[in-house]
Amino acid sequence: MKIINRQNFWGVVCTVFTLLLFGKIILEYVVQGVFGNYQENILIMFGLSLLATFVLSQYYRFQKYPLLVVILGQYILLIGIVMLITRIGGWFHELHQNAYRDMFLSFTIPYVIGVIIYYAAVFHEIKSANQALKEIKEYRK
Amino acid sequence: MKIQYQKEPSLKEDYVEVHYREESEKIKTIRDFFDAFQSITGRKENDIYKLHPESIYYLEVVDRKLFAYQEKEVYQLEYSLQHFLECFENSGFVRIGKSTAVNLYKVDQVKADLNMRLRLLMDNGEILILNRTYKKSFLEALHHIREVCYENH
Repeated sequence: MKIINRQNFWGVVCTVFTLLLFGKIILEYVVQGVFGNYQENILIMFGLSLLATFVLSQYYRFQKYPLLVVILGQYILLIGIVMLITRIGGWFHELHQNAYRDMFLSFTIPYVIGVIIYYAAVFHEIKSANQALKEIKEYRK
Repeated sequence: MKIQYQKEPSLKEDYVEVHYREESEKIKTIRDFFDAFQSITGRKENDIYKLHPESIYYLEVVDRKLFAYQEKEVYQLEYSLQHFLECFENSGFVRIGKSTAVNLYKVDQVKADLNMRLRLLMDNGEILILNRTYKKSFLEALHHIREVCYENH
């Protein structure tokens, strides 16, 4: 049995990349005593990815609600948490004057891209389903 | 007419194949016999009717009763939705909601609305909603039928 296959290939790449990155951060902290903005940003991004994945994974619980409402609801919840984390971060050190704008863009742009990809995938599925229906009808004539 | 019986233990499913030059009365009788073999009974206003699964457009459970919708008529069936799907899974029926199943052969087109909710336009003009939970199994069944059609072609 293949441990790495076509289905999990990119998942494995992401996991290995994350582990290597964490290993690097820990090693830099232990050996050089370095823990600056760069390391902090990576950890924040990891936390946000974890949170976003968790919220999006709860999608199946909202099947009865219109998709647009679910997507917007999840976005508002996530962007709210992102802004809250930024604010809490501001209690411990001074924030850059564009911090909120940057966090908003860093989160919103990938989210919008994700939504566009999802919509494109659904339209592709519909096109493919209609083609299949057409072929089945032609066969049964 | 030559009749052959062949026992083949390796078969996954029993089947009957009828070869004919023209559709004679005998062939029609054979066709009716096998159609009757696959028919089910439906109730409408205290009368019992014989229905062919392929004439059913979709099925819906209302108040724990299963109803079969034909092009214009509606009949109550003495099945549970699950049992019906188990019996006639090879007739193109697939679940599209918790209490609804559709005959894939009666679907004309699939469309999406703004909420990406899929709508099934039926051959008789009715519109059914495909629940997102059952989208994957619906599409899989559709592509499976297409593959079977190609194999038999």
